[in-house]
Amino acid sequence: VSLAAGPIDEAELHAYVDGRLAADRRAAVAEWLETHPEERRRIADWQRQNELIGRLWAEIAEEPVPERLRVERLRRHGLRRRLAAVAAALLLLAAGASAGWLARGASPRAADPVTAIAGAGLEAHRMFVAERRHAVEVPREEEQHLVAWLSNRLERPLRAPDLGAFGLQLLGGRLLPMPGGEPAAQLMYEDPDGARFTLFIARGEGRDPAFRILEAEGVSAFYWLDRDTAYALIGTAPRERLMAICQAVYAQLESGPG
Amino acid sequence: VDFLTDLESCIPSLRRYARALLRDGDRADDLVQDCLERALSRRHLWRGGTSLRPWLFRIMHNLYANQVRAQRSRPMHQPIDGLGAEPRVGEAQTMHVALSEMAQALGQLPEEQRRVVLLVALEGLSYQEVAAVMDVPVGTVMSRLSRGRDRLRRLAGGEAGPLLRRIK
Repeated sequence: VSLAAGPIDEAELHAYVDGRLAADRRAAVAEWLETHPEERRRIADWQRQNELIGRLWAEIAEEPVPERLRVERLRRHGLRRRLAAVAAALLLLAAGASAGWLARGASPRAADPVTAIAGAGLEAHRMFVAERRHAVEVPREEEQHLVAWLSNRLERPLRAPDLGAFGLQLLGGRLLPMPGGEPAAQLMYEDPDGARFTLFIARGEGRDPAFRILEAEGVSAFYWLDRDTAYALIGTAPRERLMAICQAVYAQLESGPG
Repeated sequence: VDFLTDLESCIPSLRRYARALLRDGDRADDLVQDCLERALSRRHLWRGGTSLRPWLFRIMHNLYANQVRAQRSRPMHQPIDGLGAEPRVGEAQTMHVALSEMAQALGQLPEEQRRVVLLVALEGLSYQEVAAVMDVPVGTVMSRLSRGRDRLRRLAGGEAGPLLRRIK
């Protein structure tokens, strides 16, 4: 049926039935229907259809949501699955690395942006872990301020993961410039033996979710990209320990708010 | 609104729509679960400030389309559920018959018309939202809606009067 000739078009008839017309158009359609009995029956049938369709499955939306569809439950499951995938990726990586498959040295040649970030993180690590008195710019006593400040400068919500389970205590952190002038954040942790680890964070781009390792002079950086943020966990420790810390960092960032 | 809270509040509507599409409670909830899992893993792709529900329907549609493709070789078995078999009298029975007819009629609509009719009539999405969900122009939505609604008139008689036989 074409209503092109009349003042009311087909789309308006649907909008009339679905309650999506402004009051004046609604009145106009109602008036027009007065003189068009065939269309009036059509509209009445459409309205009746809406009512029946609404009734047919109304109770589904009323009943309680089954446990397996609760968001909190699905979220925990999803996290567990992703962590398992992360663990598998890290194991594979460690196996591959021991077989000699490894990017060696913080060489800038042909490095992708995320690897370049890990390289910058390695350099910053070497520079600041040696410092006794000036290792960090903002100490852990001001953690809240530190995190807010770094989040603000990197323009994304950051957090300082709690690595107490590994005997690591947050020392504090600092803001650093990347070679191109982009801001980067460094969080420093220390274990009871005085071994220091840093978590280096910068804006990153790309779609590669893989974990990778960069090593130079006995220092290892495990690095990855999470959405638009690149992370590198850097330290001198057995690979298994770095891997385990990495997983904890990843898990805490994933389960975080926002 | 917080993403997770918003997501939770959309579940009843997702379940209702999935049920109307699939006509099978378990399969419908499986589809909802897939949809929620995908939404959670892709939440960073959702642009806050826009309505979440159409985005979720879009995810569900893509998942459903994959299922339909995978099952095309098999004959479609569509149980009609949701209608109790207990005897009814009077008005209740009239309504029961009407509902049953409508359920049958919807099952006979071409897939694309059925989805548009359900998104509009059952879920109350705007025509623009339906267009975004189905990834087609609004004009296409309107023509599917017209064809779907008129076809339902022919398939299931309304209370509003005798069916009009249209001369082609």
